Amino acid sequence: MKIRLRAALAVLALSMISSSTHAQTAKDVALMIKTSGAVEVNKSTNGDWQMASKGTRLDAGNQVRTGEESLAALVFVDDKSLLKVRDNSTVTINGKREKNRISKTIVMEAGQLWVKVTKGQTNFRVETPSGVAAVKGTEFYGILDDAGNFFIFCTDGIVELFNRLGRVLVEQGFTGVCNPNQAPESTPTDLSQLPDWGSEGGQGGELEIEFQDENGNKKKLKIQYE
Amino acid sequence: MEAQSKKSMSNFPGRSLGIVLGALACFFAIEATAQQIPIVEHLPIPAAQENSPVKVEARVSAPGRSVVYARVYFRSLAQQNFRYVDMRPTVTGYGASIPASAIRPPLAQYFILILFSDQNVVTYPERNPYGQPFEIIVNETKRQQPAMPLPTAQPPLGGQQNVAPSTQPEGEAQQASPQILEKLQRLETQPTMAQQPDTTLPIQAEALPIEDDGPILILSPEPFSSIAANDLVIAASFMTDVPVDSSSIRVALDSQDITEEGEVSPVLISISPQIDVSPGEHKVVITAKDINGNTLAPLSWRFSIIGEEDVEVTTKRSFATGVVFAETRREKFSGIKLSNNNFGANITGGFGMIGYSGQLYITSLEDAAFQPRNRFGFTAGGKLLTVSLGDMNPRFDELILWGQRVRGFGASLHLGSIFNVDFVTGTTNRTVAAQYFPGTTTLLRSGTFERRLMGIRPSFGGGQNFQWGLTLLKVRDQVNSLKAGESSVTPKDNLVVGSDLLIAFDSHRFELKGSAAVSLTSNDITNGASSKDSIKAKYDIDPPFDPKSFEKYFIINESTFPLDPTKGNSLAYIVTLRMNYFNNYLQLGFKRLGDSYSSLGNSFLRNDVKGFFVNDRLRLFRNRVYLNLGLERYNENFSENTNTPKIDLNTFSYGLSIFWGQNLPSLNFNVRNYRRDNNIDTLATAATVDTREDALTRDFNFSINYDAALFNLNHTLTLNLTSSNRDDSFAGQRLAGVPPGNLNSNVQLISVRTKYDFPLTSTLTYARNSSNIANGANTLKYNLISGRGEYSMLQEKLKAYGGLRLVSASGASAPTSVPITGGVIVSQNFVDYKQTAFQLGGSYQPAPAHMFTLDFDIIKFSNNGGTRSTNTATSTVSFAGNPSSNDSMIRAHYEFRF
Repeated sequence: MKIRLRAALAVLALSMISSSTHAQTAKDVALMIKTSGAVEVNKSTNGDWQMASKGTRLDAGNQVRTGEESLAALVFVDDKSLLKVRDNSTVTINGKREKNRISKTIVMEAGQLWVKVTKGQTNFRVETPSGVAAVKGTEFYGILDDAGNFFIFCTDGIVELFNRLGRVLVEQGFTGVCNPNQAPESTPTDLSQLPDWGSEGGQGGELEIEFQDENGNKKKLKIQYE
Repeated sequence: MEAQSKKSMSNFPGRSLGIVLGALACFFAIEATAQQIPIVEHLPIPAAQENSPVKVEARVSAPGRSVVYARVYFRSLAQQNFRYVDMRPTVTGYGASIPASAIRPPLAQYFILILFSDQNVVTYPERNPYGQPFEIIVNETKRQQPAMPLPTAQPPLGGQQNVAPSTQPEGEAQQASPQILEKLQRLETQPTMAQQPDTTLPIQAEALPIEDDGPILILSPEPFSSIAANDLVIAASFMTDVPVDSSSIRVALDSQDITEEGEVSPVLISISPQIDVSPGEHKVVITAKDINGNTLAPLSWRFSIIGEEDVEVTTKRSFATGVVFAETRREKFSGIKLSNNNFGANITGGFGMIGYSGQLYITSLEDAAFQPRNRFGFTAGGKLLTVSLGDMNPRFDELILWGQRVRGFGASLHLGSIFNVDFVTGTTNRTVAAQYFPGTTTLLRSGTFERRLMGIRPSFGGGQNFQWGLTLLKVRDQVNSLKAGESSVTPKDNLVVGSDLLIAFDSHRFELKGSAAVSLTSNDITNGASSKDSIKAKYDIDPPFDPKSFEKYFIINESTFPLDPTKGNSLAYIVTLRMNYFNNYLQLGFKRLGDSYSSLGNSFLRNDVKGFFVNDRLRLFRNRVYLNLGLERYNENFSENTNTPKIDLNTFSYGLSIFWGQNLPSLNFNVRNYRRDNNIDTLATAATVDTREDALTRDFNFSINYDAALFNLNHTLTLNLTSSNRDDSFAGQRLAGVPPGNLNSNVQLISVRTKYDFPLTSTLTYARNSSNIANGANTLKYNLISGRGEYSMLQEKLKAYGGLRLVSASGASAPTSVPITGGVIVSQNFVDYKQTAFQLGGSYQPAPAHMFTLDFDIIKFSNNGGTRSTNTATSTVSFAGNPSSNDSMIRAHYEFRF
């Protein structure tokens, strides 16, 4: 009885270890497709930062850090969602594989990022000390300033912004803001404050154009260009 | 809302033909030798989305006349005055875009004005276009932000100044470059050509369509993208239910296996090729198997590597877009040959922080005997400073300088949201020399003085929530540009000073605007300034300074008004308040312009008028129903300084718009009652002039737009009913020889546009217009039936179209009498003609950047109208018929877009 119990406990312990290991170290969740300036990656827990370059593969739990006037562009392997990390920023890439999808969580300690999530069922979250932005099929800028204010500039789709004090939906054309002592709020975006660097780096930018075909039908296209 | 946005662009030929009321105005403007009424085809635009430019297109057929210019005049309801943009020849006729800044809720208004080579002007609507223009219902976007253009590569245009309107207006949708369009076409097509199997790979690959939901997902590079060699990373991921056998993964670049150069895992393959990847097109093929040995659908795609020298070219090309066009027309009308050639170009782009735009328009109708018809302009700048050269239409203040064309130099300085300065100087009129009868000193045609303008506007505040501006305008005719007696109009001098204020908050849900200005005008500066003693002697006014010493800045003489500005006759002010709350868009406004107020920088202003307006737009049922209510009360000639009768102008309007949604028709219904009364009800006993005026005009408009699918075909139905009735209260009491002011006109239009399963689109239109003026003294009936078909071939690179148009017109004018010895000659004009027009044409687009268009029009004009004259002295009747003719027109148009 004791031996069986010990064996069962051992199996249980091993399974728990393996599952937790699997959850913490999902491999190849993202690929760095463009770097500019000083971009470093920390692939281990001992704080050993290494220079990153295009083609650097990222596992769940890896950290990315950018220096002055630097930019890193990452693509997630399950749905080509894009993440661009601007200068003086530090983020941790977390991802949990669920069949053919990866539930993505970006933990941002400081700086600015731009996100374009492919529309679908994938979960994508940006976590900061001030609040969490949960998105599904959207495009937005996330900025965490030195005072701990977390800004979300939503340029497409909807972002849910929440913290322990409340939650709010930030729609296209609106700005969400929260900090540890303030419930999230959403206000119309001041266009003069809207970042526009999301088209920098990566494989060129993305151009949204509107044109009329010969039949007079209006079409709106989002096309990447170099 | 989706249905409304889908219908927002009802333009020729995109949707259907339309006939507006142009026939009526032209009929009453023509002489006894009646020319054919110009046919302008334009379908009024019923609705648009806030802050989106609106394209206005029109097709013009005017045998025997050339179009000197065509313009779209527009304003938002919050603006008092119209601006204009020039319409340019396009593939389909004439087109222009109303800029996004004018498309603001609840309404935008516009009308079209065309000047023909015979100096005839036609407007659409033809009656009172300034007072009753076309109205576009503007729907608010979901986000309620102030109407500001998004940051683009173009230079931000400082303050209220903007470039000549035919450049790319603010907020206009950016034209796709031909490279992007080509990529789009390739992305949308399905390559079906199988490729030769590649024997170097264990698994033969074929060129298959790229599928986003396949087991292999392309991460980098993007299909059909162009990248630099050192940016190349080839990567793909495997999203499969069954894990992939990483050892089976193979990557080939141009048939060369490069798998070993990369990093492979069951979910991701990434390679930074170590081989030299030369400039040009390359192909990647990826194959793999799952752990059960099943082969995954292979994937291949193409991309291009650009060389170092190409990177800069590519960069430049993506920051310079534009269009170049050239057009020539040859017409034969009643044996007379006419020709007209136009050339134009628009370009926009940027280098880093500097953006620029330019426009050029050259026409063979340019004539030194008229004001310039050519246009050119160039603007460049960044966030701080913008400079413009050439033609521009600055807007400083609605009361002072608002859209007047100026050819010269302009600049705008912006220091954040704190301080700005806008400046413009140049000429608004060029010298037009007088013309004399040959060999004589008798004036055939008077000349025009050169007119120079200078304006400056410093302002405080960024304009989003607050701005306070001060404007100074100086306009002076150059006396020496003509000799004495060469002009029928005296040279003028004009000085205007004003201030404007904007306060807005809550994302412009609350907006208060105010503007005030005073002016000084001298109507005749031929002899310069008068002396102080001269003015004192004539007007008993003691000027505080000697006008002669002030002459450099402003010429004061006996023609100056007002000589005493303290009386307030030359003061003008406007105050408007807008509030957008609780589904109501409410606007209130009050204005007063003194009888002596005059600004040569704003030609559209009426002076000696005061009054107020209120209008409200109520949104109901989740923005599916809009109710409009409006009231205006103005007094013209309110000042007591003239003997002109005071006129009361009262307008009450109401309307309803319904947008049920997709698959259901949208309805528009508007009524406008307009009363003009000068409060003169009786005449003096021996009066010979009937000055009484009291008329009520009622305009009614009803329209339906419906997109329907019937018999597996897509149809767009447009029905438009317009009625205008003016009732003269003194119709039966006028003095002898004075016709009553009654007017009645009705227009019915129905149009059906059908898209077939094969690349054919047809449009059928019927329009009827009947008008009656002065109780039947002048009548006109006009009928039009037209059919047009467009067929596309060669993957829509080649389009052919043909059409038939049948027009009939009949009517008569009131008889006129000319006394002669022993009697009178009574003359009466009759209109009675039929026109049959065949149109054949086509456009060819050999490459995305190039478009060639060729049009032929053959018109058979059968005219039975003319002038009947009755001589009572000799009891004879004669009839001078109008000529018939067979006319033709050929037009060639070429466009290059880059």
